Amino acid sequence: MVNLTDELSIAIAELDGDKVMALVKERLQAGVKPLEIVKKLQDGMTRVGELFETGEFFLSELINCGEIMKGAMAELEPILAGGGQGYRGNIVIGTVKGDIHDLGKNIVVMLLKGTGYNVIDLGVDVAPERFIEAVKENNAPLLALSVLLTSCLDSMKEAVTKVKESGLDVKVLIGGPIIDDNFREYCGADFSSNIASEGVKIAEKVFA
Amino acid sequence: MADDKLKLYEERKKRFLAAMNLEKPDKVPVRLSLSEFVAKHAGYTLQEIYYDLEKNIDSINKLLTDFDLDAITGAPSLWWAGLHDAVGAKYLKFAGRELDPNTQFQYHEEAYMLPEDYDAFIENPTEWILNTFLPRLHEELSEPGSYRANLSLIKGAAGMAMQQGMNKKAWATWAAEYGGVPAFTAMSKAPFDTLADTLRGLTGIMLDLYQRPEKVKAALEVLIPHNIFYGMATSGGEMEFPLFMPLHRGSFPFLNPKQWAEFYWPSLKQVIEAFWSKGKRTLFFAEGNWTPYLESIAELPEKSIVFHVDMTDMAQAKKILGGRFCLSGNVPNMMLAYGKPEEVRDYVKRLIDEYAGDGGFIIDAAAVIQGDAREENIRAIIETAREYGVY
Amino acid sequence: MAKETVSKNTFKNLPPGVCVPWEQKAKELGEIKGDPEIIKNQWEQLDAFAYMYLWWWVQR
Repeated sequence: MVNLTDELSIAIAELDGDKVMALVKERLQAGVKPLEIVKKLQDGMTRVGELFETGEFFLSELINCGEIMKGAMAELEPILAGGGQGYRGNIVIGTVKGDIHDLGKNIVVMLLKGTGYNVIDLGVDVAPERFIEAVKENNAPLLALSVLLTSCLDSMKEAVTKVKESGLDVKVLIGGPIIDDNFREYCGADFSSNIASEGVKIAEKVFA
Repeated sequence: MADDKLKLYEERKKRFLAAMNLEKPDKVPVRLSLSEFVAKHAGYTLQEIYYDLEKNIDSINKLLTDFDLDAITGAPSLWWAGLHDAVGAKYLKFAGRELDPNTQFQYHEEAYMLPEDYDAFIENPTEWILNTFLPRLHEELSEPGSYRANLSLIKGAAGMAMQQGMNKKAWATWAAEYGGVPAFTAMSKAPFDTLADTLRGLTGIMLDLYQRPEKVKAALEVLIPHNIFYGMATSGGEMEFPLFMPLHRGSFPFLNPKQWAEFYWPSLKQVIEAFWSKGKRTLFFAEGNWTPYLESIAELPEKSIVFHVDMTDMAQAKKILGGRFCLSGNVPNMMLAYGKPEEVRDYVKRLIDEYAGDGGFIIDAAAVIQGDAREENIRAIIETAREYGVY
Repeated sequence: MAKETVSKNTFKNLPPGVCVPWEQKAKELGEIKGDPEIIKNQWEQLDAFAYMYLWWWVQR
């Protein structure tokens, strides 16, 4: 587990929204580089992800933390010059066609963003062709597909098949509460998980 | 009622009620929560059952002709898409309009109640629903007092009465002509779910727990008598069968244990106890995983609920709740869609061996059975329970 | 989203099943020449129907 020493990182991990906002503003005024501030926020988020994984944090804490992050990033993003710099890589994500559920996907997006990836979120009910386009456009090494409904599993298989057929050099991660190894094999995906925080670990592997 | 159908109805009802009363019936009852599967089986598209009340109802006739079920949950679609169009309701997306004609309907969540609404809601929720909530939810009512807005209120209320009238008639037919027994005859919700599902939405309620916990508590307090009233009103005075309570945000891991004990449980407990004191049992339809909360649930009066197992640990549920409440569940829906009949057979056998021995057990799937379930797997559940589940 | 503002309530602390309480309606009706119970009973039934319609959109 990460050992947090920075006040801002600790404030995020303790879900103290007021303190986070105050510290972000204070540091910006003091001339700290926005990227450095983002790094401290990410350290805090990593810690929150770990606490979720070990069962100390629940969805209520994760969602609250995500909103605090959103507030802080709204302050920082306009000043971050050129956007893309400093990211660890591009990841395309979305919920497969026919399914409009986004809770799980949004948590994974939050954790991935929080640990420093540039996440291109295509939203819900996404057709396979749109996934392929976005992977091409962003030259993304990782594509993450989300599903909740069992009735949309065929749609997941279709998406994975089409992406693989496209010949793109991209790893495919599938996720959802009902996803298991058997289904991953059946789909032909590279990775699968039914735990949001594992998404980060899989990304580490892909971007290692 | 034809004599043989009446006999069948009485047999099934006796079996179903005995299990809920923790007794040993002649056989382990089979109650399947079937929704979109029913349409597929009857040869209707999902658009047809969502939009056409008669087809929605007719699909059950075919189901009851072909399958031997002790209790059924009623017409596959709870919602009438035409009525939703008439008022412009935003939170459901239906097959044939926004979705392909054979796609499962989906719920589109938004915070239709805003943080600043709490005071008006707490003061008079009924008036707030009409004046503030419905104009946000119903596109047609977005300018209250306008021609379209007034029409939408007429159509909406008339539509509800039409749908309820048709359903009532359908239940009488299902009982008389097919011996069909209802799995439940009323509906209500946990106060926290009422607030979290349709009003504040998931993100909204989660932030409220940190930013305005006192308002949340006051709103829950206000909701308790309304949720009790709603349940009793929808029962129409019928007291033998349970009340359906689909439970959502209390499952693991939405709330931390402290929040669960403080916000979710006390108001829910009061509602269930109130039903029981009036003689109405609750079908505690615990969607997701409720394992960490079983000890608290055991505090409810004996027999006051049927605890339905979805992803809760069945062994733990049996250990902590067995002998106190009837349990139901939990053939995995993934297995029904992608597994083989032999796997289903083994699973049902294991359920019967391990959990049904002393009575108080009902066979069902884990979650509502949608269009992806295979017919041979549904047959496997019923046949195994009939052959193997004899006491 | 339409309707950002919260409307003011006409009534406070009404019991469940009630939109416009009979007591209020009775005041407005003034003198009732026949049996008020008959009128009250029908008023309350339809009032409860309106109540159920409104809550039906919330209890799902």
